[in-house]
Amino acid sequence: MRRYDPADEERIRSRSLVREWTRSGLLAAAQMAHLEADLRVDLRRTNLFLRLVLFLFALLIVAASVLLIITLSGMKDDENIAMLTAIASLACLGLAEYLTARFRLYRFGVEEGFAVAAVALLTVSAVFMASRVRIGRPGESQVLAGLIVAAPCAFAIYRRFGYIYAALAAIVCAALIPFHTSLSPEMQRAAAAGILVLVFATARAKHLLHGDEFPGDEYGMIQAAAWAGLYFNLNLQISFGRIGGWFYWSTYALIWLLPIIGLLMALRDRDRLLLDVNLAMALVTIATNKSYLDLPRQPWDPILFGVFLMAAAIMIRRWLSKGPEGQRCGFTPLSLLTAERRALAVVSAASAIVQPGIPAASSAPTKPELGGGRSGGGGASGSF
Amino acid sequence: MTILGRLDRWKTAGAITELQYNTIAPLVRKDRFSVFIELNALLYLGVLSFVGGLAWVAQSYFATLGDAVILSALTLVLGVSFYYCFSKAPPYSSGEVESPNLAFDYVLYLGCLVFGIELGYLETRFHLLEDYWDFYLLFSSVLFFVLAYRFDNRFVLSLGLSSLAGWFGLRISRIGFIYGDSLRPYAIAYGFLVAGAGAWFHTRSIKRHFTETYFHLAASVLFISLVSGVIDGRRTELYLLGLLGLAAVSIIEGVRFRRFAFVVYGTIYSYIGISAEVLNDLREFTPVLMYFVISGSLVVLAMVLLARRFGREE
Repeated sequence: MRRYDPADEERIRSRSLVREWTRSGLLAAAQMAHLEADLRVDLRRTNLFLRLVLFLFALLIVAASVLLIITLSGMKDDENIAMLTAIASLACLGLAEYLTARFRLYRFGVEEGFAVAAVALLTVSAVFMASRVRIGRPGESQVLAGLIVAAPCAFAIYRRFGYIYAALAAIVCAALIPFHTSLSPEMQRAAAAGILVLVFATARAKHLLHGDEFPGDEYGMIQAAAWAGLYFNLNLQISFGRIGGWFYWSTYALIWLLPIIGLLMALRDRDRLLLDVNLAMALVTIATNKSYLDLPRQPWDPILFGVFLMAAAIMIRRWLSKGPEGQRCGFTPLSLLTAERRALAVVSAASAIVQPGIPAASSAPTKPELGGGRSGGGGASGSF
Repeated sequence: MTILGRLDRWKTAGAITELQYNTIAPLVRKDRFSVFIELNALLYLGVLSFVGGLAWVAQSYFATLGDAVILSALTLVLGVSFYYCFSKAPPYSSGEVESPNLAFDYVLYLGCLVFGIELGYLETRFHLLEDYWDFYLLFSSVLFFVLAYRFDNRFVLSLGLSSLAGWFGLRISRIGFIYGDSLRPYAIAYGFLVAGAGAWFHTRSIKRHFTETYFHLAASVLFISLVSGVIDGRRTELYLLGLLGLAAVSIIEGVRFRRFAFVVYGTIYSYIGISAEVLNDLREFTPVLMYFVISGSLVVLAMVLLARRFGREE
């Protein structure tokens, strides 16, 4: 089913690890060249930035071409448009296949754009096909048809080309299906949770089977995404659920339980992605706790939350550092690879955009109320 | 073959040493697992939450607690933060300096944010500078730059750059795509100033690891300003010329220094600018779509050639 040879996928992942070890000073540059010769693959690749541009422009070309045909032919009937988009979808899939086969493209952007466009066009086709069916609210049947088609198609694209974002899109579409049915709100959430649990369990089983190496790394990402989706679905404060009674309190219990269970699994398996997802879930649970209990928010809440986070980080670091060789059970607070420092550098550079909403000076002519003020100055420009 | 299998083979073949194998293999097996990123994330979020809370308390309780209490508390946090940083900091170096501990960078960042709150509070309550309140931003940015360079702190550098942007009349944190005519020249001046400062420090080998932060910010501000000028400005041709010139520099230098994010900036923004100019006179839908098909294909072709020639690194 997979378009690429698994041996090539393994070599590509090994190659990026070798590069990371070299950047981190664990290997010499000459050694890297020697090892890379052992990991050579017959695939054309490019860097992330050019890939992104190629992906976006491939999508633009497809969208403009399909619209152009519709405009030039004066097509107005839903069935004809559905037929045309279905044919265009097949053409896009064919192009993606051709580009990967003929030019040996791998995560090059263009072929990805065509593959993703194939899914999008088939979804549009399903939406137009369903336009004559009237179930529930206006447009509901069309959205439902779109999701029912998009979920398996996106998953098929993932299986064929290995685009992990296609698998994630498939999970989102599948989980959204119950919300466009006539089920009660509680049942919609429960059904979505059931789908996500199923995805999580399947991906986890395969991840445990394969470990972190291909294709285990992909299953690890799907597992983490399904777990995060499950939490988002169940936390009624962040997913805008208007449900009361026993279901509400069940979700309250679950939003505390899920991060705890997830953290235990992540720490046992040393699974970074699952660890980060569950840390984020735990923080969201604490942040939404008062809203869940319908308690008033106090101005000092963020101070306590901030102190808690800082104290937790410092205590964990100290506890780990005091272990033998500066680590405990293999966990260390030290940076082991340069990738970690690079990620931190990106966050710190981007922090110019994410600054706390500090109130600013009332004499400032632009901001009379709390929240924002001009950027920078630690927010010294807003109003109290 | 698994990566551990490959490591074994490379060790046997003598491609890597025993020591290298013993260092790398535990990382692959996860016998050593770093939580460095997670601890940093907790500290960063903790600082942001704490400072946001301080500001909220000051806003909500200044009438109840009184200015003296609020200012004393803020000054205490500020003083302790800066005392900690100055007492623990390693000596200044123009190169990259390792922080003495995990919390150090965040303590300095906390101090700088609290300094911002305190200035804001002072001006709100006592109107010290009144119409010239924006000079707080200039003063803050100068202080933040000094501290960023002294303590080698990218968070504080970003704070300094955004404070300077604030003084120039920009709002990086609420950036809109369209700058008004009155703001655009300031945005362009700010962009050139930041790019010039980054280049100046780089040529003098002062904290070269900061250079990309300067250039990314400068490129974003300049491109957005020029594109907004092309879309709704009065001197469209001038802005378009500037945009194309900047895009050319960004793409050429991005390729030269293997910084392909700048190639993306140059490509996307110049495409938006040219498209805005070309489509401005088109009233029919069909030629618009034809334009996108043809121009999009040309961009893809150019990018494929560029990727094959220069951008092979993953």
